[in-house]
Amino acid sequence: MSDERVISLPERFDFSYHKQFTEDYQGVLAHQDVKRVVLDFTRVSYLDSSALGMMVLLHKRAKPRGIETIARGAKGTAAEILEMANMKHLYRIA
Amino acid sequence: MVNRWLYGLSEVICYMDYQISANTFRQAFNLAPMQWGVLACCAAISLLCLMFGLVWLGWVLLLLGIPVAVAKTSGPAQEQSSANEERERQTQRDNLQAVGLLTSELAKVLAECESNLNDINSTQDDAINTLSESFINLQRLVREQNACIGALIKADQQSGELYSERMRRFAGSTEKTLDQFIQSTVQMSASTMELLEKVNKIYETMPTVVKALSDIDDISAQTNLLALNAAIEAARAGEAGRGFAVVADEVRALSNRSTQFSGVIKKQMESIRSQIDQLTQDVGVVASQDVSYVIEAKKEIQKALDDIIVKAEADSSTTRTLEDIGIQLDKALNNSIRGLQFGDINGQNLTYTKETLRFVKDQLQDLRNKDVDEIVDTLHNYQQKMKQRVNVDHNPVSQSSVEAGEVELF
Repeated sequence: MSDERVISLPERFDFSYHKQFTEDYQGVLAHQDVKRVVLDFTRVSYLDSSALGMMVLLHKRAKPRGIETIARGAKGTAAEILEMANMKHLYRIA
Repeated sequence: MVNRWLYGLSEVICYMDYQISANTFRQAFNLAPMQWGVLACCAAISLLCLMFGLVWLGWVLLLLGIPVAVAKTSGPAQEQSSANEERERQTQRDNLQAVGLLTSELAKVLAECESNLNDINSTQDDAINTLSESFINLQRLVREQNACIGALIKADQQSGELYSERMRRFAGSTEKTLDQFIQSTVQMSASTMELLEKVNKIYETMPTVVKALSDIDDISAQTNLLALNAAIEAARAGEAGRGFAVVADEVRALSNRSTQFSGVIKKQMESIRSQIDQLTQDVGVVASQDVSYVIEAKKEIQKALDDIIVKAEADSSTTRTLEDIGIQLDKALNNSIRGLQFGDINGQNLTYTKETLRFVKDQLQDLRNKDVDEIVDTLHNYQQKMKQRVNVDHNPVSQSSVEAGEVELF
């Protein structure tokens, strides 16, 4: 779908990824027709607090533009961390 | 007990009654066959006379036979009755002697019964006193125990709040605190990331600045070259160009200074860049907190709290059962104490029985001197009197069993 953009996350979603992540999401948000941003957690096996911070920041940037944020394919520890951090209030967990 | 004794006594009296009436019957029967025998002989002789044709003789003999038979037999009959009277007196004497023996034996038995009853009464009194005391002590201890159990499950005496409730509240607030901690960690990370983004923007402007500085360097190099050229031209002009040579030197000096400044700025920019690199690194360390341990911690805390709650609830249910048992124990003790108070009734019953026995004993002692009928009457009257006493209201003797009525503590 044209109004959905997927950001595929690496196995270790941590601070080392932040530069890439910032570039990716800024690139996605730059498009006017985007309605949904999907973070693909399929590969993610580890994420730290900076990853959660990045997710919060993305939501903070996307919300004023009326873009929905979705976390997809999280499992194991990653899913538990998203649950514990109450990400379901910011992201639709799919 | 009394009834048994009275029944025995009445049996003795009945036996005596039977003896007397049997003698009278025999006396009345002894006379009749003799008279009838004489009469039958007369009748037989007259019948024989009639059969052999001596009709008149037969009738005369028959008519004469009756008075003769009556006259003949009346003499021996009177003798017989006087002999019977003598025998009757002898029987009565024998009976009285037997009764005398019987009464002395009975008196002994009754005395033994009385002493036994006394023993039973005193033993029962002792036992009941001991039991009552023990039960009252037991009741007091049970009440103390109930109070202790109550104190055990209540978190504090004023509010009466249960430990399990307090633990559940504690568990709730701990979970909330943990959530808040996680949320603030995430928020801090988000802020750090935002800050980093802004710093990166500054970092990104640096190449532009550096480019501008190199442009400035180029200009100052050209200016320097121009000033050099001007100085050469001024020297060729000789005396006339001396003033111009001074200006050219000044321009070169300015160009050099500009190059120097540019170098300083470049150095500063370099320093800023390395500092931003350092900042990014430091911020990275701060922002990259491993949060998986928080999950473990949260799980452990949750498990510990669950265990505590389960334990507290089990405790409170156990203590509630204990409380119930305590109440039932108290009730059972009350019943026991109530039952013991029937010992008093038994005591009264025993006293009553003792009285009756003594009365019967006294009557037996009089048996030799009094008429049998008189004693039977006395006993009968006594029995009637006792029945009336039994029927009177509020007589504890009428209480046949503990369950017969709800008895208030006496």
